[in-house]
Amino acid sequence: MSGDWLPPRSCSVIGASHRRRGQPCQDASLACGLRADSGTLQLMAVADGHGSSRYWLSQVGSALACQQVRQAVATALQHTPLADQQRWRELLRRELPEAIVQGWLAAISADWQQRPEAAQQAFTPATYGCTLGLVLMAPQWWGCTGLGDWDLVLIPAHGAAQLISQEDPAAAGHDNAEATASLCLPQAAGLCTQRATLAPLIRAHEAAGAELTLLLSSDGVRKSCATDADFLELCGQLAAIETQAELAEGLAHITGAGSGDDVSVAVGRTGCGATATALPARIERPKCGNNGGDLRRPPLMVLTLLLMASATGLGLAGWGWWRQRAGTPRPSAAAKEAEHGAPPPPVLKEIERQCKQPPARIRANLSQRRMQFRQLQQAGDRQRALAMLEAADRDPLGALIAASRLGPLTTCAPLDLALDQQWQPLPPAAGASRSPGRMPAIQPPQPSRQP
Amino acid sequence: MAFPNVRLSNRPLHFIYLCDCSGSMAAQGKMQALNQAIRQSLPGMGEVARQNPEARVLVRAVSFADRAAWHLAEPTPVEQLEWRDLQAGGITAMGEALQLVAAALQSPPMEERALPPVLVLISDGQPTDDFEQGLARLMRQPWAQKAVRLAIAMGHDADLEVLQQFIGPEAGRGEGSGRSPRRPLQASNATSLAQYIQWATTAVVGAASMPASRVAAAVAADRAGMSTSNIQLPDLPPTILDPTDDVGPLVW
Repeated sequence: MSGDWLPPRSCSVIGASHRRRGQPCQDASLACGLRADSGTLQLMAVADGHGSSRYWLSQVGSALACQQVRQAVATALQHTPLADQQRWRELLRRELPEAIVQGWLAAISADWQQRPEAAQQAFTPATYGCTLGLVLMAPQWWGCTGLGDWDLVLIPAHGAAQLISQEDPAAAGHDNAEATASLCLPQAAGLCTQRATLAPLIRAHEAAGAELTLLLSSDGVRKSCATDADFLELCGQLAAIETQAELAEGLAHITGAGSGDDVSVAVGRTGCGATATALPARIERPKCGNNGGDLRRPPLMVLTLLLMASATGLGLAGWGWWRQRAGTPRPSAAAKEAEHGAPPPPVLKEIERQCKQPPARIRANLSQRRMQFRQLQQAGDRQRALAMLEAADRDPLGALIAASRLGPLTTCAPLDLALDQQWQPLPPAAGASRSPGRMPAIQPPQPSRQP
Repeated sequence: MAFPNVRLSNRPLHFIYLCDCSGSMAAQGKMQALNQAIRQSLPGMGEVARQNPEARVLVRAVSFADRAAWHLAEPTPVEQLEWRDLQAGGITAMGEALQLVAAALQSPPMEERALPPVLVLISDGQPTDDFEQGLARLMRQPWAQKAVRLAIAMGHDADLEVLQQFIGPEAGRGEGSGRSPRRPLQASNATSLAQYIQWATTAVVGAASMPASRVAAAVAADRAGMSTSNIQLPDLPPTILDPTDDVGPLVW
């Protein structure tokens, strides 16, 4: 079987700022299919060169990173059946990153030796520094790994786009959005473990005709959007673009109207059965199996069940365990009320306002406040929470977050769920033992029975 | 190609002055020179902002004397900025000024997608309050750690050590001779002050407008007190301190 994934597409466009300054595009991207006896594995990757003068060959670094991805995955595919999900999960966590990093170091070293600067300067990987994100798409699963500030968005056929993988600044050893992990760091391969995920695809007749899209993007895309909700909306529209020329045109518009940074996307999509079919007009979400007014029930198709928990050692039970360990459990509602009274009116209004919005937008709104969640997670930060509550008039959403830290709030289910997701404990730093308790990045849908 | 219902937006670049308004600034026309230099820099700053549409340059200013206070509290687009003159008088509450800026650099109100801010500390003397505490609070803010931090010493009474602490130790270079933007810039007269302000508001703002990632290791180095910003600071303008240059008399 050739698999349910259509051939992926990728595109990198030079940033408006880089173009104006006569600098090269420091992004690179890759989309290809790799064949083996066990089937076809679709592969897509984006790499983002750091761009400043210290990393003056980062455009070479990003291109070589994509080359190494292809080579390393092809080698792994020759020795590993696609049906062996456990083995691929391990490959994504450890061996593939190790092979890619080692291959990349060798490739950039070889490139450096051919340059005239090699006679005067010592070689340093930082010169070629870049991020790297890659996604593998097999007939029964998809997975990702990498490091840096790339984003991966899942777009179900019927539902809102969801950000399912983003860099966690604290886990990557820093705590601000501008900094990023890099292939040039000594611990690069280890950092990839934090973002390695494998999610099986489950066939289910309830979702016949359902289609799934994965969109991988460099940070320039997200930073061009006013909010994360805009970013998710943009991903949905980018994923529906049909031609490479339109994709390039769209990316050029994004960098021009947004961050000015180089922008890259790679898009993978499940098709309608084993045969790729023409997609409907862009923007409108494709409906597989409903071609030209044929209303027959389509063949049994693919529904994703995002079982990301196993890849990252996650779970609700662990969350409870962590909260016990964290030493700052939320007090009971009664205790909180006794101490602080009910949430201030701006918080109640904010709860009402949030609950009127779709769940995806609520998640996006909270996702933009990652920094506040992380700061409040630090031990002994009760004073910070109280200060945020006092500033409820100025920042009601921040006060809502603070209130949720101090104790349970009465909210709607989507907001409650989104808050719990943001309160996930941080994953351990590279090299440290993994503590339990981190929840999946998104709430997995209920598994459907096999027909 | 338009994307319906998607708000694309440039990224804010916060430029914050921290201006010494102590009584000594009234002497020898220093306060007047500072007001003049800032006012004269605005057209050039606006031009740089226009040349870098991906960045939205927003200016604020803190003044410090007996107390620190926001002189320009609202982040103001440079093209809308009308500079009100600072007034000299009092002592030097520099530490309090750093605390004010620290509060402003919290996230929020700072936007997660902002560009690294530019902080310019200008002083002619020594702090009279708890500078260390103010600096510690400032440097706990991630946005302060990755900010471009510049310091201008007006005259020879300025405390260069304190200003260097604000900038952070210079990475990879020993103390000693030579000018560097990673060291306090010594303005000895109105002309050199104007040149440094012009440089900070044009060349530095232009460099900071450029999207560039910072590698996590650089952030860790910043925490350790090393100044390793990914933003490559442009060359300094020539001044009286340059033996090859002659731009005016030494008056401060």
